Amino acid sequence: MVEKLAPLVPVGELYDYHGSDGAPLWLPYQQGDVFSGVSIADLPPAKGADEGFVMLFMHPCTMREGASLRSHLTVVRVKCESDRKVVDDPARWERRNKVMPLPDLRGDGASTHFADFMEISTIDSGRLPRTNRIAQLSAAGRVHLQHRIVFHLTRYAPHLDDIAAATRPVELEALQQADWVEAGCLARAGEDVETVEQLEAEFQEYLGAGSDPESLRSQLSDARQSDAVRSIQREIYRRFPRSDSI
Amino acid sequence: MPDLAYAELTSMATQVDASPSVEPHRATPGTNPWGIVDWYAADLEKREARQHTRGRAALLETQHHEVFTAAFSDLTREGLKRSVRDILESLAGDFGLAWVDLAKMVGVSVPAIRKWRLDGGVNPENHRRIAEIWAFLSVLKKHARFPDPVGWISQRMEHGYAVTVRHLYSPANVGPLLDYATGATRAADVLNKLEPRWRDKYVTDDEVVMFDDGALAIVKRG
Repeated sequence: MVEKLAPLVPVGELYDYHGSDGAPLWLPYQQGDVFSGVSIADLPPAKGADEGFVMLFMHPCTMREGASLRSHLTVVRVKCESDRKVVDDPARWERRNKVMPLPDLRGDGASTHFADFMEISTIDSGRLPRTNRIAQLSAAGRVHLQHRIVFHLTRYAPHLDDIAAATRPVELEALQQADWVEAGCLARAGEDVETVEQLEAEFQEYLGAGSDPESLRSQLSDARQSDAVRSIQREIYRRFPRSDSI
Repeated sequence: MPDLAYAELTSMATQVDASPSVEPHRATPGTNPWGIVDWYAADLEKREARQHTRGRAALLETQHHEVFTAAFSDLTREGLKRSVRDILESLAGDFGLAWVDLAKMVGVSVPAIRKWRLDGGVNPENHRRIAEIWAFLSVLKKHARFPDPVGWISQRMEHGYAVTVRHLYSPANVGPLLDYATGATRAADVLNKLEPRWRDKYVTDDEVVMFDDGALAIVKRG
């Protein structure tokens, strides 16, 4: 029997945000986020690459220093596969193991892109402003991306559920941070980059140090995950109480 | 006793016009426990008894599942009296359920859950689904006495397989899952029942462990 990579996640489950509205500013940077308007000087012009789309390649563990992004980040160039249709049939992507398929990236229902793992570059993180983020993968989409990256780099195809389990602490942290920042923005009536970054710093400080075994950050990595989620959610409700108008 | 294989004996015993070649050796009924007629009678008796026991066991299993599903239904009704926002706050703040898990269990996206949490705009079907998940976790806590139901549904059920209760959850599966939760049935049995392909679908040669840098890593299962 011929082995193959896991089938592509359906478009409806591949993204959390894509299309004309882009991704909300309060979402943390995540592996797989797609940004527009980024040219990479050392890469030659290529067919389908004129939109300046790039995908964030680094994992959240390694893309930050403290609460801030590193000064330089690795990105993958994103190219257009079709300007006429959404190519979402998993069979169409079989054996194309050096790319991450991005059907309907623009959310127009009429186009398909892919991130080309053969064109990875390091760029100034200042060129990836949240305001230029056009898509964020879902958790399932990120696991699929990691599945393809691992295979591309090592020829090893790990089980999707093993990847999901290994990256779960990071996913949980990102989810909690998004809740914290979104609630904070609503409470402070502002969703600008400055407010978002300040709330992210407050959240990271609240999580505590990974070196402290009792910190919430440590709890998110072990069997106390649900305790940590519970504590964080209660703190969010306490710090940013919402109106009961609905 | 004649030197006959079990298969030959059962074959003869179940043939309508069986005329076993061992006839000359047949003992008087009741005097030789291994005479073929006595053996046939004993075999039938035990078969019937086992069949009856199996039927009784299946009936008891169904009735036991109904006890669980009744508790689940009661708590679902209780949940449905609350607003979606209240239930979501309880799932996150009381149980520690992450939106990504809730979204998967309900069959919607994380942004949809975030939207419901803020504006409550949810259709009755999804309101019910969320109430059912709250009820499932509540039954696990109240009746199965799990202090951390979310932790339990996230644990792998069988060594060497990635499947968890989260993978199997659906309102229709609540009876067998609660049966498993209370220790009345084994993981392999509930998996065979709910996900017959589980050995192919979830098998993994790896395991996820804490690495020396303090983060989780995937390594070959040793």
